[in-house]
Amino acid sequence: MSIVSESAADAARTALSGDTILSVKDLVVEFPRPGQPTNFRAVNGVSFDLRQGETLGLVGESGSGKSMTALSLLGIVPAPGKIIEGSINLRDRRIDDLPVNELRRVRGNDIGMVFQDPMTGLNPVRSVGSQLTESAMRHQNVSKREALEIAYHALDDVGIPAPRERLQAFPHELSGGLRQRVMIALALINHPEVIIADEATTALDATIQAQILDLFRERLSVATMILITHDMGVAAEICDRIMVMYAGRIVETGTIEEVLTSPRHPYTVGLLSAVPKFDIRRPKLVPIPGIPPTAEDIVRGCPFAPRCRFAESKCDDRPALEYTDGRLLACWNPRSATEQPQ
Amino acid sequence: MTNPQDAAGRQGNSEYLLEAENLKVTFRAPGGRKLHAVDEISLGVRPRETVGLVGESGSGKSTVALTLMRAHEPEGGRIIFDGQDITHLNERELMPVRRRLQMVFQDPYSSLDPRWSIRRVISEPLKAHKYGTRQQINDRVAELLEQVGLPPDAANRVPSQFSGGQRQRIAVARSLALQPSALIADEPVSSLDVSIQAQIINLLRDLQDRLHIALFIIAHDLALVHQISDRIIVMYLGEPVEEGPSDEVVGHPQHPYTVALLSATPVPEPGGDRKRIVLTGDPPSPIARPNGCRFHPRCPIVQERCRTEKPPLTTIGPGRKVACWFAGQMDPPRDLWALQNVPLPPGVEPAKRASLGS
Ligand SMILES: Nc1ncnc2c1ncn2[C@@H]1O[C@H](COP(=O)(O)OP(=O)(O)O)[C@@H](O)[C@H]1O
Ligand SMILES: Nc1ncnc2c1ncn2[C@@H]1O[C@H](COP(=O)(O)OP(=O)(O)O)[C@@H](O)[C@H]1O
Ligand code: SF4
Ligand SMILES: [Mg+2]
Ligand SMILES: [Mg+2]
Repeated sequence: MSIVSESAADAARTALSGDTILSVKDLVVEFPRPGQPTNFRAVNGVSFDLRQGETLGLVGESGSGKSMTALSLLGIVPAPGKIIEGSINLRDRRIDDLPVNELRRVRGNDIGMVFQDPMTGLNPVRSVGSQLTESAMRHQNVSKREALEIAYHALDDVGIPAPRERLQAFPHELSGGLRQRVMIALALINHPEVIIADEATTALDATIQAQILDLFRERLSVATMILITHDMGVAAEICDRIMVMYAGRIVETGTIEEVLTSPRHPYTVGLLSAVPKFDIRRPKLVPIPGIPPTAEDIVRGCPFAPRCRFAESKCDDRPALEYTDGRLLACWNPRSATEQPQ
Repeated sequence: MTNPQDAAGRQGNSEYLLEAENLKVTFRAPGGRKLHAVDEISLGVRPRETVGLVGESGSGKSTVALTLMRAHEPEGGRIIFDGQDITHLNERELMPVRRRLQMVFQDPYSSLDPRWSIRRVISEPLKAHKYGTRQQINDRVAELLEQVGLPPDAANRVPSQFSGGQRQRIAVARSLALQPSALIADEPVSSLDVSIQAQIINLLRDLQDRLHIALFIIAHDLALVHQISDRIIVMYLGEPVEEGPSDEVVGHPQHPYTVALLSATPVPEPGGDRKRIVLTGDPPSPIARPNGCRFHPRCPIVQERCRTEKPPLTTIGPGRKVACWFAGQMDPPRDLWALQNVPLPPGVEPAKRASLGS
């Protein structure tokens, strides 16, 4: 079952200009609901194309299914979760049904992943150098000595001072910012086609977050990247295009300019208004009331309706993700398009 | 007549409800070295006022809060609450102060006992201070739940049945149980989603308006602190580097660290080519602090003098203090307003985009 109507999906594809590197179609990820006959859909019919050289922001509150979407791309959805529908193509190759060993190749070679907590991606009991060289040797067919040189450059590339000495360091001996840089070095070491950064700066202090975003901007300006974050401010920093996700679904997509200047989906409007800005009038923050549906909730109709100021009776039916005035939207009652830039 | 002290230790004529003078807190680090967590910070929160404390993690914010709550013994300085020096009171003498000075912590997941019903969580301080009969306590719990926007039946559930934001509401309800006159909130929204943060910040603002409490709020997000505070103190490596009225600190920052913090705060405004002042490196360790200005190894405008001479916290205007040799001589503010793409204050010309230093 797909909620993206065929025409919308087709239109989405034709609207794309650059080469499509990664193509996700009707992805569904389910978890069993303890004690209940139906499963919980953490990802519910997600489709998108990632174009060469673009930074695509996947934005939404915790629990909206961003990480499960990312983990699906790497074939590492945690059990008992499972991809039950959909397809994932990396260039012309289908990667969602690959055998385990080939998937591992994809993970090391083609898609690099940066997690929020570097300790998830790094082995705490092995030195930074041994983790980097191992990955280079496994995927690049190089000698140990060559791999060490590659590892050195990988650290140097991501702005780690005194990279030679850091090769010997263990992850816990580094500051949070440096650990995140090591994680990025590891993700980049085999020159993957796609980089996924999942809340990679969320746990960092503002000035360190700025350093990492700067690194992404400088070092990865031509890379093809998916940036996952719950913070529209962070997405605004480096993304070219934004996909807003809510309760397992994409509810709005657009260029960064479109989404920031004329958000159409009430949820997107909500995410933007909730961020405190430096405004000396200090208007009251506008929170999104309530909380997102949890795994226990059975959602009918528009999943955002219970929290939406603009909900109407027709919102009891589920809105499809469709083109509305040139924007991909899943909403019966989108906000005005009048402020859209010409 | 300056600060006469009567027999009860009460200070006269202070406008502040909660006050710290030259607070200094050190810890013993492994190897016996001294860790300077907080060094010479003074602050004052007036009744009904909100004062915000910002700084990176490790800058000593929580240590300030916990020391004000008398959970850490300061090595130097004084803590004054409602005119009374409480720095050396014993637990029994502190009881009446504890009732009037409450605290909310960062992590709503670990600050509530998972086995306790919400009724028990909220009524615990009431019982400890012999609030009244069981019926009176239950009524008070219901009233508090309503104040923080939770349904009455929440009382019968346990913390795990609530989301992070709801748990923080519960923590706020608990802190308000005894009708405190001052509340210290240490990163009350840092572990919440941006969308939910706004709920809790607005709740704190509303409660403050209604209940007239003095609020000392700690956060690492300058935009958030600006939004809620009347005055702001910016802290770096255990020391205050800049303070003043919120709009002044954000609109006319005078310390390079404040400027960098402002510049580093992501705001969802168009203009992707925004110039950023990106500080290099990490904050130094409070065990081996740099000589001279503590900020000098990361400062984008560092000069020779800064490496050896420590700039004192100097008053540069009403309620405005800055610890930088070049305070008042820089002109980053207008650049900053342009950098941030925020509406300019009246009379301020937009400047060309620029960044500090090289
Ligand atoms: N191991 C798991 N078991 C059951 N549900 C899970 C598990 N992991 C994640 N989920 C659910 O999947 C949904 C999406 O999670 P996730 O993709 O991590 O969200 P996000 O990254 O947007 O915060 C959440 O509602 C979460 O509760
Ligand atoms: N109980 C303690 N024992 C030893 N060191 C501590 C203790 N509490 C805090 N510190 C240290 O004091 C410094 C300031 O910490 P903290 O006040 O928690 O900073 P913040 O709240 O700004 O992140 C840090 O270097 C921290 O490691
Ligand atoms: S005193 Fe010097 S090093 Fe310190 S903040 Fe000012 S310019 Fe920078
Ligand atoms: Mg996630
Ligand atoms: Mg703290």
